[in-house]
Amino acid sequence: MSESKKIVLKSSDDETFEVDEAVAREFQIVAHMIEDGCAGKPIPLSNVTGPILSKVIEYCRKHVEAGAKVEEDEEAKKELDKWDADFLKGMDFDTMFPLVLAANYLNVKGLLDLVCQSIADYIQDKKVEEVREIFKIENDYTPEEEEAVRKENAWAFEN
Amino acid sequence: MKQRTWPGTSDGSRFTSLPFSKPYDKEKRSRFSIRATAKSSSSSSPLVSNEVSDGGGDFSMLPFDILMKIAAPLSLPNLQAASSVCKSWRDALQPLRESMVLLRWGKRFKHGRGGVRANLEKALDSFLKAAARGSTLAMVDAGLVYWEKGEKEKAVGLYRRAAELNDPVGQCNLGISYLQVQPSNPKEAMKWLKQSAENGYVRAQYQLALCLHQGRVVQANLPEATRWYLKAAEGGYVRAMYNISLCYSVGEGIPQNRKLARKWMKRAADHGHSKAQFEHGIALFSEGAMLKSVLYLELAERGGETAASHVKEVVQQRLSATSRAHGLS
Repeated sequence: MSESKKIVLKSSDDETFEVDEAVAREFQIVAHMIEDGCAGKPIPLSNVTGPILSKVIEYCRKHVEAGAKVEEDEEAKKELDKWDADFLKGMDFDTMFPLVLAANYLNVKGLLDLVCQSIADYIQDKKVEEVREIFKIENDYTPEEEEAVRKENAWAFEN
Repeated sequence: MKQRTWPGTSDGSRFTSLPFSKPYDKEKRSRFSIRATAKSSSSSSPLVSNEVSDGGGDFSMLPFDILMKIAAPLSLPNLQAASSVCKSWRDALQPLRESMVLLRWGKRFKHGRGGVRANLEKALDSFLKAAARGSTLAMVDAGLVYWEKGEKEKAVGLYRRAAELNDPVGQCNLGISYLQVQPSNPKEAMKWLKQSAENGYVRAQYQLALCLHQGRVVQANLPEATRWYLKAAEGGYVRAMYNISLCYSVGEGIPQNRKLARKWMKRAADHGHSKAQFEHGIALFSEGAMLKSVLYLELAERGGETAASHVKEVVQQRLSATSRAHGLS
């Protein structure tokens, strides 16, 4: 089997990563650059730092390896789902925040879906105060504004 | 018969038991999914820097399109809570909240509720406006209206939009529509039904089991069919309870187990499945539980099982004979 073509990706902090073309193509933004013939030299990804880019590459590499097997084989799919869960398990929000931005910017749909779902799970069935605490978000409402939002919600959510 | 869900060779239409899921079904959904396209965060929100750092981050500054995507699986109370977290989140989720109001008006117009006359065109208009703001619930509702009007391509398009946003009811309806349009597309149908089933939607689990059991759309796979019947039954889907009972009873795709067969038949009967009520009534009669038998046979008769009335009379005669004998002794 012939050696697959390598693509070099360069992070915003000048870290370089050599990856298989198939892995690089998982980044839609990079796939377009490859098609436009811009893959001869390192591809700069000016919005993503090295540590986060390495996380995205790890995800894409695993999903490329799993590849078509997942379509046919139920066990392989379960295995990949478990890997996805482990990939996010224990990840702190300081990593999750830039990771979701990177997945969005690089247009890695699977990863974006995965991280968004994970963040949604943290919001699920929590009180407003709990959500603020989890994500360390400051309440910037005045009491009057908070009351207005509560009233709007009560109206919009009634059956 | 009314609820003959067990696959049989003499069935007329192939998918009479595959009605579309409506948002007003028993399996009510309180999910609002939204449309979110992955695009550069720079264009998403004026509040957000385009730099993707790794030194933590302020979640109140998430780009609007990402926040909308995150909100996709949230139930109504959760969306309410999310909207109240901070001003940025409130602003980001505004289209979703607007879509709920439009959706509510759409339902009022569709069913003639809340002081308005039923008007399908106005209902459709409201659903489409809500769908444009990202509500997958509205996409499904609009799809149902189009399907009823015979505009199947438009319906399929809306189901597909909802399905691609990971809405299980959209996925289920898309799967069913691929079986019902001409020419049908069994491969796509099974793909979407499976995805919906894996997302936990009991109706899709049942439809998938039915397809795998009948072996008309795809190659029959009885163990897989029973696995999905069981999942749907455990999720409260009544027809699946009846079918899994029959599977246990005859040992089809699953080891024969009379006890479990009885358990699921009773459960289906208690959930109002008239055929199950009839069969459970007969089983009780054969065990000598006459009074209970009459009760279930009466329910079955009311549910349209015509054969139940004759059996009920026989049981009642036997019952009165037993009572007389009791009185004389």
